[in-house]
Amino acid sequence: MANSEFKEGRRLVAQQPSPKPIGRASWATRRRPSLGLVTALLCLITSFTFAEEAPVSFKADLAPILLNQCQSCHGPKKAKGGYRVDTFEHAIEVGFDELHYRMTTDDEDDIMPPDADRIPAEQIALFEKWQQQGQIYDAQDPTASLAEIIPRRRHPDPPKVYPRAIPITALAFRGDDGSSLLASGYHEITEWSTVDGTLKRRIKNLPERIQSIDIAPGGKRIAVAGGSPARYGEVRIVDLSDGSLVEILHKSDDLCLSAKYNPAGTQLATCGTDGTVRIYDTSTWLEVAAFANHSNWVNDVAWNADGTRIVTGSRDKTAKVFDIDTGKRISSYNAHDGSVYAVMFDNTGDHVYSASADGKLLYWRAEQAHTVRELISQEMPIYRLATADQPETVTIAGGMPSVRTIDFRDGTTQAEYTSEVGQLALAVSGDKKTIAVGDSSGLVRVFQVTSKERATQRFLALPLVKN
Amino acid sequence: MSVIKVACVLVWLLGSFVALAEKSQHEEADLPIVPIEVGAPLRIDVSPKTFTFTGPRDRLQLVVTGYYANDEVADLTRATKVTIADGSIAESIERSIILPRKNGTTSATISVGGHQATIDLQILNRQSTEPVSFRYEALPSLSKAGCSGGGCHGAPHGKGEFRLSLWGFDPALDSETLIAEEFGRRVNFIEPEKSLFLAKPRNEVAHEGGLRLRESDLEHQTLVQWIESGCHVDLHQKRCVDIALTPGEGLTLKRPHHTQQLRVEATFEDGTVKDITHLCAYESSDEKVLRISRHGLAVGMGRGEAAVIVRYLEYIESTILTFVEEVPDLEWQTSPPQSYIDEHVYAKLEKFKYLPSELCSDSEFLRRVSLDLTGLLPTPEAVETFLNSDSADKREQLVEDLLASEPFHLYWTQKWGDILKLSARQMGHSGVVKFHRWIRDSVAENQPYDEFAKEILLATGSNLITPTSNFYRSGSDTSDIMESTAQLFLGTRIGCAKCHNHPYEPWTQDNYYGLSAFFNRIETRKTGRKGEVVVWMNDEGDIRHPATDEIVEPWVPGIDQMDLSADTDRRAAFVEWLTADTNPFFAKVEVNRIWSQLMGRGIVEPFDDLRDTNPAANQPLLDALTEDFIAHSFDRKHIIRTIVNSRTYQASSRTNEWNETDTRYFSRYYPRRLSAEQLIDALGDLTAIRESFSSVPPGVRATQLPAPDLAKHDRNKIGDIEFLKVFGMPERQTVCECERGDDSSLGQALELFNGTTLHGMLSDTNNRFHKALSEGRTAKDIVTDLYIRAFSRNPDAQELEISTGYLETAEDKAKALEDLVWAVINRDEFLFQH
Repeated sequence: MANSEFKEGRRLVAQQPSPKPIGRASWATRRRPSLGLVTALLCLITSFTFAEEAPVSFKADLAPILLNQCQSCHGPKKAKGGYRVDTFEHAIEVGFDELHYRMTTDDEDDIMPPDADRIPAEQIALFEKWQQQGQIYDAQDPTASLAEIIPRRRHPDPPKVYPRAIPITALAFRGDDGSSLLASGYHEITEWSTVDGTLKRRIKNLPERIQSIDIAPGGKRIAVAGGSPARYGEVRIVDLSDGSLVEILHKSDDLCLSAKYNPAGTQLATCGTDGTVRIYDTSTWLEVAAFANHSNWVNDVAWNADGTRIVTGSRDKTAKVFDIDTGKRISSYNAHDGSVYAVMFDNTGDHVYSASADGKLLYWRAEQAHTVRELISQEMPIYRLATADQPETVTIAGGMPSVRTIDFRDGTTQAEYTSEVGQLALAVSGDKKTIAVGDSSGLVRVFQVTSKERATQRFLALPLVKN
Repeated sequence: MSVIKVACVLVWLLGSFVALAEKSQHEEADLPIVPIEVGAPLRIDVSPKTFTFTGPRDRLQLVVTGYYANDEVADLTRATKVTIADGSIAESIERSIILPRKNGTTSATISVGGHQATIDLQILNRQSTEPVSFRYEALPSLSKAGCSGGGCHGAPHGKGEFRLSLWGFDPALDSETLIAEEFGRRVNFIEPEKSLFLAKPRNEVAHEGGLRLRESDLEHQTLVQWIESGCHVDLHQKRCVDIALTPGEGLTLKRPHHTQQLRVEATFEDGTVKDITHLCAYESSDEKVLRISRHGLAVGMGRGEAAVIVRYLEYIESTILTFVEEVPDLEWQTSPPQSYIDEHVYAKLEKFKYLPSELCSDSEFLRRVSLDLTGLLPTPEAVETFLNSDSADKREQLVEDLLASEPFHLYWTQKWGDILKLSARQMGHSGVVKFHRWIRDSVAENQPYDEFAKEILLATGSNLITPTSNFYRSGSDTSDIMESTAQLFLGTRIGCAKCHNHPYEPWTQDNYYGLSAFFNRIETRKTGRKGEVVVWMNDEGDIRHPATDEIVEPWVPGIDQMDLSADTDRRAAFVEWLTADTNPFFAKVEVNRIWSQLMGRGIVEPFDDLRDTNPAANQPLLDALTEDFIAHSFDRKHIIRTIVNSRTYQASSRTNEWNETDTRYFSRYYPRRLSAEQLIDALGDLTAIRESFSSVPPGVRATQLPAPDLAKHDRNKIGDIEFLKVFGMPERQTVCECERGDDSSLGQALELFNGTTLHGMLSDTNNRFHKALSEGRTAKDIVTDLYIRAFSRNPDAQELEISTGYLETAEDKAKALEDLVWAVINRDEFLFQH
């Protein structure tokens, strides 16, 4: 086992801390020449010496400890005392002897984490054992974040029946006709018949919370963005035919919030609480572009019709338009005074809709970021946007007790569908004739654009205990 | 709007400070608890006498007190055996807590120290499915864990994008934040323990606030149960109307007894009483004296007194615990008390076994009292006269002379100028000059303090004709004026209550606006005349409560109905209440302020922050001074005289074996650095190179300046305001005496080492010492004069020998003399009042 990994050339023996920060380049140069015979021997020796004992893995055993115990103060957002441990490269710069001292010292001023229980002895022992075993880095890129390298295991199964209702945070219609609806669950996606409100299927091995479901053009796969708050975030690509896992993308330490296929289905845009937007090639799943222009969570991402641009909405109260080919930001829109929850291009691609926590729906020019029209200004936030019925309209769902379709040309309300407050999910069928919304109490309402106002179906989209 | 923001930021700063000072709740295992020695109590007492459990999660904390010979008491709660008559109805667990098991009635027998007592128990609603109350159980649990404190998520903008209302003040907002915000991110309905708002304080996921909650904590269980109830929120349930703390009266514990279990009850509007000991947050006013465990066990850490502060939502209760112990070998002896001041101080010191220092020397007294009363060092003539006098009452006579002197009037005018915010920026040059003159006359005439306050608060008309109306120019709006008035005359920092109930005092938002209503009809307008502003009272205009938008009627503490006819000046009613003999704050704040100005530390400290949660170092002393002040018709000179004539004021600043650790109870005089103005004047008098200040007549000393900003200060001008600023002269932006800096800084050290001011004075050939040298005076003469001027005493033989030797053998005598003077100035004996 040790040999095969050695051959892959992926294992690195940790060096003593260097006085200078180690950049990418110096790692590359260090890797080849200094990982010569000596290192190889070292690896072999350590491997043999500890052959009996299960090796301690940095990525599986130590990274979660550093992530949970240290990163909030010594990471990319804050680097108290100038120390960071959010990547292996940073951690080795601090030095594992120093880390060990900080976790074990009796000096009240030096002990880490401060103002908390000590790190448990068995976790300290893992560090010690790993150091004895030669400080081997068993992931690929020493500059990768801890969240990225921690191996993802299979998610726990969802509860057979739910003890309590949970909010519906994501919905997607499967197929064009609006008869079948995918809904977010707890560690699962459930599929429902909108005709009679019955549960058709449960897709497991998914993150705890699901913030967004997007069906790939062609309908064979779905991209699911989610995670567990302050624990992990990811985008999972799932094969709809058998529910099998295709790929895990955008691994981070807090929720992923949205993932959208381009209209051709060749690329996937993802975004999340780490403030980044990433573009993946859907055949190789390689990251082809990344944008880190937002200073806070990126709540939503949307493509234009020809797949050349994306628009993003962020908790930093801005929306931004990016060109995928050049990797450049085209505009930044800052007329909102609240977290921008939802963004969408209009049918021409020249304009953007953006909706925010302060209850505004704004319509603006993608190129210049100039406001064309304030379509809505309401008391409650707007969470979701979609296009239903006519291409010149936008449909909104949010804090208000109704779902509305607005004509962007004059701001008039084309249709208003009665619901309750707290609509957290919105979906429109492929044929644009059926609308579904999900709310904070787990209820899904289905509307037909032909029969306005009243819901044609209403059901709890959760496998609940029947009282 | 901006004022509100500023106020809230101040609150937030205070909050941060509090959070830093107090950290998380103490675990009992971390406290040095001595096991209870039960001994032989004469009797025991149990609280409560009977109890009814009315909810499924109710519990009961007993408090058992033992009474001993010599009036000693001890908390025996945790040494008690509790036996329940019918164990199927209730059970007793550790810490003498009783839990209900099923509906019914039974009794508990408490046995300790050979005594027994029985209390009746009734259990109702044990099977009730009543969900956890968001307001009365869940929010207090978050408060107790510290989440909603002012330094954490209770800050105006929260922390880490998670904001709670301060101490659960706004349940509706908090329920929205916890349950719904960001798609319900903070709660997990399927696996409640995994909820973010629990995992964070458990430090299970990275939490900058550290560990605040453990899975085993009752608060944690309560919060989990609340989530299991589907995060049930009922904002209209029966309201809590009061909380009560046992022991409510302060008590004294003597080692080895040093712990006290607390018990807190809440009364609801329907009359139900619940034991909320487990839901309260506990704080100590002084962690060096007292620490409190999260279970409400107060633990004495050393000798002294401290307040136990109990918080339940917006309710605050406090009680004072006193810890004493025997000090072996201490033989108690004091000089005979000169007045009631010494009696009260000595009584307190004897209680804590701090032996007062001996009486200070005549030199020390002369220098000390001159600085305190006039701001100036005594002249050599005054030193000579005083030291040579053998009159028995020479100290009293000196005090009388000083109290009648003009420097006294001007120096004490400056003290008032500080807190009445006399500054050209606020009042204009002529406004300052007029107001300053008015205060000076008031001090000189010894105007009774109630009249002083009346004249200021009821001022109307032109600020150039009625000088006191400048007071209404010292604030940005009428709320600001009300806040200043409250702090000056009521010793209350009520500003917090503008936006939410005060976190440390019983002041509510209603109270804030009730007090504001007295002042909000005041109008000010500029006239055409330069620097003139007219103040008058409008006869209409009401203040509205920001939360309810209802008109708030004028209100003062303790008075239900005020007589306010429509056409009277509302301020009159307020001032009448304020200056009445019965007002609980008015006289007390002023005697405490005078005490603090003379003793360097208030009996209550900070001296203008009077509240139950900030106990006085000596309450009987404060009460006696207050009584004396009222009995003497608010005669301020009488209080000053009484204090400086006391043995307490005249105690030496040197410690003895038995009072080294005392910093609070006035067992000695606490030395303090000369204030900026005192220092520059002392240097001027010592060197005879006096500072002259622009915009005031020549001869006005720094300790007599009407305002710090009468002239634009010139950095290059030696000795102008720059030096004063470095040493902490306040800019007079707040009514807080704390604006005056009394700390030490590097800047001060540099000024004293080789700053331009001091260097200029020393090297000036016209200075006293250069002149003396050129006049051919002897080294002995020069050195003696230096010592008398600087320290109000003669040099001792050794000092004289070293100094004259240095001077006589020096090649450059002028330089050598400059060195000598410099060395004297840099001695603590010069820089400090001691």
